[in-house]
Amino acid sequence: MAPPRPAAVEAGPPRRGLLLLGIVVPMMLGIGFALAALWEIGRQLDSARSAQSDNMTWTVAQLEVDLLVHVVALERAAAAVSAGDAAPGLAPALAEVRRSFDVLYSRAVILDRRSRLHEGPDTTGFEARLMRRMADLAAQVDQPDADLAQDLPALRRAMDGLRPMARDYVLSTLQDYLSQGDRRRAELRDLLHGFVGGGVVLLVFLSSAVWLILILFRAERRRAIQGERVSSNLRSTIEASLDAMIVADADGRVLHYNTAAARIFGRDRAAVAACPLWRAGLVEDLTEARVRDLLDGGADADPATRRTLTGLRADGTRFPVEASFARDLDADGRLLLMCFLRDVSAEREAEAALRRARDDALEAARAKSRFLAVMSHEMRTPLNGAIAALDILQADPALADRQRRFLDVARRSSEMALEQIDDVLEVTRLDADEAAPPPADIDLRLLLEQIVDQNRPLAAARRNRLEADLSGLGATARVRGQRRLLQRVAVNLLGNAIKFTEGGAVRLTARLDPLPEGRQMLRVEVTDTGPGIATDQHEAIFQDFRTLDSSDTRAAGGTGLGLGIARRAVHQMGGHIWLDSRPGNGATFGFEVPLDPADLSAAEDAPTPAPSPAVTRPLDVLIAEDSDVNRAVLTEMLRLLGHHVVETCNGREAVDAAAAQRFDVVILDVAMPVMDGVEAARHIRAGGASARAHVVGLTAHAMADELARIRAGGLPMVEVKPVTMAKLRRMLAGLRADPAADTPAPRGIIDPQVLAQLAGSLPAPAVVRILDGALAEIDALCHAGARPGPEDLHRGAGAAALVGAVALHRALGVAEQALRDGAGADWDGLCSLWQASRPVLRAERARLAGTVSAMSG
Amino acid sequence: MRGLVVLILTICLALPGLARAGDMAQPSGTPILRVDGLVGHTNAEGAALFDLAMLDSLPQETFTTSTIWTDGRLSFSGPSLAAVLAAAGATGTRVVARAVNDYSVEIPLAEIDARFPILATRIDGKTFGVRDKGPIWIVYPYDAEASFRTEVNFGRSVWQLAVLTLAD
Repeated sequence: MAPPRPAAVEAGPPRRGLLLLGIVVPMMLGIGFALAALWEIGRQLDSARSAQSDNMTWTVAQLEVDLLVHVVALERAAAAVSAGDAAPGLAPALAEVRRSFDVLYSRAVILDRRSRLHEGPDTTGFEARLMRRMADLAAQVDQPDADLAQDLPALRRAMDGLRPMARDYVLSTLQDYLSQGDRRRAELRDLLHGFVGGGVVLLVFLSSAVWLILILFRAERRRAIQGERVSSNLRSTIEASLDAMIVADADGRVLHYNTAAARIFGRDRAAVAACPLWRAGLVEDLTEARVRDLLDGGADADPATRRTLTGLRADGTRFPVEASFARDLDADGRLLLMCFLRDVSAEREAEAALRRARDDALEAARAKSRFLAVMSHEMRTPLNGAIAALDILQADPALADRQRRFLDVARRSSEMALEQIDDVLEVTRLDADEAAPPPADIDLRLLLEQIVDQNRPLAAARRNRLEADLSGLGATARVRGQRRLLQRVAVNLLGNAIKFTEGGAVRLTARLDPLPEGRQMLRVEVTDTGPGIATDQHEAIFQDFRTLDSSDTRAAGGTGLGLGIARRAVHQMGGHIWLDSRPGNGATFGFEVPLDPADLSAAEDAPTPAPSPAVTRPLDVLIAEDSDVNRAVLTEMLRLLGHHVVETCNGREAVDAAAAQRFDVVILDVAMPVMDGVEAARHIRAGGASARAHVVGLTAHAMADELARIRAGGLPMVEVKPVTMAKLRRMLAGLRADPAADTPAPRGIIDPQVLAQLAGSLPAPAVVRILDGALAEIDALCHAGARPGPEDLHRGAGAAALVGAVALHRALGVAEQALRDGAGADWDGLCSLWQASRPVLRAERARLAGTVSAMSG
Repeated sequence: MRGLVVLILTICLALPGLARAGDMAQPSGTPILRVDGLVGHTNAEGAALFDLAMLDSLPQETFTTSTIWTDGRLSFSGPSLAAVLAAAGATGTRVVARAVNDYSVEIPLAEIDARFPILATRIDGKTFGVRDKGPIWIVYPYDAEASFRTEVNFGRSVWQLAVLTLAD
């Protein structure tokens, strides 16, 4: 970026030079012409005044007079001669002859000289002839008196001969003079005409010049006025500017300093006038070097560049100024530096206030999150206790039916409360913009199948048919994404559909479509045959705490947050969610999320382990929990499950106990006095008798970042409170599943997963009761001699399905249909199938009953 | 005796008009100039006659100049007109100069200064005769100043001068 150069001031447009030339040259020519004419006139006047000759007319005309005077003298002398030689008048008469001859002679000299000098109009050579004649005659005149008297007649004849010639000469000369005078007058007239013409031309040019000068003068004056106005406007602008403006000359001295500058810097104009900028003490950063650099057009001199500099007030306080600089030339072409300075202290303060307000708001949001986290902890802890206590109570076989019913209500209510807390926490978690956990590889088919399977009991309870069509996922449905969020959305949508549909069908379809760059779009739709939702409610239904019918909600046990959570989760994954429904026609909820291709090189992300058959071997378990209630409940649960428990109250005690005795499992509350769970886990692993024990953490903090912190701290296995029997059983099974202890059922007769699920979701005594009921039911069918009806067979099929006797379930179904169709049933086949299934179920019952008796022991 | 001479001189001085024929020396040679009219000193009846010697005895002016009537630059010398008029005790306001050929011109006395014009009696140191515009020629130093080269002055440059007549 080149610094801008001020435009050079040009020395006036070239056309003005041409204009001047156009005026000056003709003017000079006119003046020259007039001067030449004037000089010529002057010369002529001069020659007229100084009269290079006297009156030649007189001089010439006098020739005849002189000639006649001489003739008269000769006449008189001739008369005296005839009077006699002694006549007294002779001598004076002869003297007169001589005198008049001399005069005539001198006239001839003058004329001769004139003709030689001027070569006048007379070219007849009369003057020269006259002169020669006079010289000849002079010899006779100069003779003594006597000889002269004798030659008088000859002289008289000579003169008479000269007279007509002289007359012609005089006349022709006069004529010449007349025409010469005419010529001279004509010349003078021409000269005067020329002079007048030159004068007129000069006058025209002078008038034009004056006119041009007037025009130029006016233009110049207009330009000067404009310039003055522009400069005055500029001064007003500078003066009226709210920002400080300082103009400095090429030496960096202050030329202009506006009122705003005086106000902002608190210094008078007089205090800084003519002072170099770096000594004016206005802006700290404007050192001499910097000002020179600006004047030289350094990088800062670009007017678009804004710098924040430090201003200095007269009272010594510093304040931020935003500065920009520009260079230009003044009217005389001298460099100017213009400094525009704005006091930005108020803006800076406003910025700081805004930042504080934002920080406060963020802090408030964090406080809300903390509050929710604390609340969840505070509510989960008592719920933990309540649910665990209810678990223990339900295990009591001595309960009356009425008590058991109330216990169920209490248990369901507690679980509902926990669900509500979890939903609220989920919302908080999604709103908190927490950094999402790193994406993991997901087997979509496995994930969705599990979700569908987990919802089957609920669907069955509401007499809904539950179907899944995963064919659209393709052969390998492996992607990379947020497992927990996907799971959450699918579970919520599926759970919702089941909850709001009774005696209908719920169908989940999923498909993957390719996207650019190897990505894939997962599209999941959940369709139900429920009551449907009015179009005007489609938007509202995704909002928090919004349900269409509060009575329905209560019946379905929802919090009103499920769809809100689903929407947030989908948005967080960059997808969208929709609803297609009309009242009476069921509803279809769907969502689409883009997913990355699975990282095939990465380790398989293990799916949540399927519930496995309960651990049968009693384990040695060390627990550390500072809450007396929680410790007692946890101990009771573990004992109910048939394990040996050692209790400690904090991390330190746990470490000591673990060092002294070998434990299979150590369960540590994370937040404990003296030593927390994370640290205790590190100590236990570090050495001692239980160094190889499985260490599990327990926390009431369900926030993702908290869990991540605990895992990173050294407790990879963390369970969120409340702890239930099912959770404990699943947890311990995952740790120490002993394959040898399992009794593998013959494949195809008993599905072990059904029983495991049952055991996982219901307390052991309940499972035992269910098993007892089923055994009794089917035993009755297969009793020898019994002839059951189709209703009996139907009940038996249900019982068989409940305990996982899948082959018997199918056979009973076939038999029932056969009886209804009037055909005979294969009783022997049924009974032999029952004989094969029965021992497995008995063994399971015995194991479950064992744990129950261990609890009471 | 001395008293008588003083008396006569006093009368002569007091009454110049009465002084006639005799208060100026007679020319010894041929008179070449006659000054008459209002003159104070005379040596003839009502006139002062000058021969060449008398003119030569007056203070001489010499200058070199060209003229429109002659070739080249010539040296003219002779007494100034003013000196000659003074010698004749001339009064009045004008003088009429007349030549041998009866040419005449009037010159106001006010236009005659102490030195110029002169009555030239010599050209290049030699006297000159009537045939050469002599023997007396009224000459101005034309080359010296333009003001001398006027038609009026050319007209006043009378050659073959014979008579000067003073009048009121």
